[in-house]
Amino acid sequence: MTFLAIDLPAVLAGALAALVCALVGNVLVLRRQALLGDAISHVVLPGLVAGFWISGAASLVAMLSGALIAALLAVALIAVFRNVGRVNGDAATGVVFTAFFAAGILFLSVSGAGSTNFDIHTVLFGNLEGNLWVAAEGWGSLLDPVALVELPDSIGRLAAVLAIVLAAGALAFKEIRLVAFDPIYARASGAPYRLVAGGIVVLTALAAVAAFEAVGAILVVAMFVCPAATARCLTDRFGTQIALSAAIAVTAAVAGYVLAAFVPLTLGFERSVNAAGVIVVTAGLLQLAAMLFGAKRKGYGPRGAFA
Amino acid sequence: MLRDPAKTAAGVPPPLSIRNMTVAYDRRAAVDDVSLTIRNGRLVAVVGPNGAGKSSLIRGVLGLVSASGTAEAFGRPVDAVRDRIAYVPQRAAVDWDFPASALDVVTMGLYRRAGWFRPITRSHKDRARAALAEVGMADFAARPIGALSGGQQQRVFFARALVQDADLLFLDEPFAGVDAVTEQIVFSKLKALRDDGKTIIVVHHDLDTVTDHFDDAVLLNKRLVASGPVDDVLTPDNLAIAYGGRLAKALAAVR
Repeated sequence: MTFLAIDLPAVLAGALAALVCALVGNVLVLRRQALLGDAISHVVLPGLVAGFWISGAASLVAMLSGALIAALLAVALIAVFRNVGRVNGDAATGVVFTAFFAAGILFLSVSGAGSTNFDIHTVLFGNLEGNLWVAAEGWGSLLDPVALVELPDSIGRLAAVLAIVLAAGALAFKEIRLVAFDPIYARASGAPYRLVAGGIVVLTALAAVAAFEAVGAILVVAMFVCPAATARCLTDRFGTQIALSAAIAVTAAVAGYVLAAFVPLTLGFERSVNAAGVIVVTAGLLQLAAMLFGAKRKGYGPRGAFA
Repeated sequence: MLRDPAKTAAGVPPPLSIRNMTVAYDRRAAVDDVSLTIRNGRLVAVVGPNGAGKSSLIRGVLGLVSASGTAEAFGRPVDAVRDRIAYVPQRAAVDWDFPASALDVVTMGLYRRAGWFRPITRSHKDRARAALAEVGMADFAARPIGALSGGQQQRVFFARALVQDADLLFLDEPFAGVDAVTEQIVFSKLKALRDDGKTIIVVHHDLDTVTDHFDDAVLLNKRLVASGPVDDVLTPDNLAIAYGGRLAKALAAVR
């Protein structure tokens, strides 16, 4: 059963990672904070590696704590750059997140983590194909709790983060919409602005960390932005946009994996290509198609033309 | 009309009382030590030259920017009476390309009453629809906000404040770049609210229309120049202080 053992866990990890990042990404894109996902996914790298280094294994608690500390440190540093160094906000963010990412790369080579399965290649492209389900013995394993426990840890982590994101989204749907659309009015009407805005950052960090190991930095950054931006071209409704972005993310992940895993072999190439890369390209192509054929553009044309 | 402000203060607490408010950005004062009291049931224009701190004063009062000094509404800190206060931000403050309908935006005015982290009900939506009808936008409820004209967007913002049933309203430049129909609808609603005993404070850029539409005026140029009934405030002397000599003379001539 190579499909169950090799392809299913990889597709599942890819789809979950894409889904988690895309859901959070809607809010980032609408708040014009698309690069926050980029920044956070880079900033957490030294923390992840340090957690990995200190705990000596891919321990979720150690890596998450490391990532969180790195993220908080980065936010504090950006504030220092702005207030003491009088560097403007986007420059300060740019300097801090590239420096942190570089420090993470440095940690990787110094710590020797690179000699395990956590190396620069994993950082950039993730390790989708490394998600194996060795306990799978047949389709019956899908209903076998003992075998299901043996699913790769990264899938469990992603599923847990997805549950948190969905719960937060369901609980605070209208507050998130308000804060994303009109933060000034949200604060004037006494909305729990800090809680919601802070929650968005925390969820972004959680999504980035959980997805990072499975699919790598490039896919994380792309999935924060692409599905939401694609969905934006197709609808003018907030709820519809979120649902569409989820469908687009899963489609890109599954289609991208299938293209990467099977098409090159069918065409006679010796080996399959990197799945994360193909998933990102697929997402990019979906974006292009949406921009060219998007229903929203068709209906309204340039702003105000409908009025 | 010319009631003694002290007498008003002696009875019920005023809808708004500002004491020594200073708002500074990058250590440069936008609002400098302003103290004033707004009387109940008045339609008040906040006027002054560009950069006079009109919007900053409102934002300071509402706690949207850090400010020193105090602002009390109905005798209590603003934070304690937010359910009695409505705010219409500048239209340019938000991204109108956001995926939302006119009805979605107006319904936001009821989020606080529905309760944070609690769902919106059908009756909330009905109330929001009624408010859209009040500003002549009944047929636009389902329209994406990005497909509305500037004046229609302003009316959506105004309807969002209307559903709050507030006793004190702040409007920041509601007539900037809007059509004549919108201006007329908003002014007539503001007057109706005033006649119902509400207090309305409008940051206004057009000195010419202040006398026609407003009861009181607050004249600012970072510092408070004058505050009170329009005719007492917009005197040539006060305008000269706020706008500088030559421009003030020209303005006085127009009036």
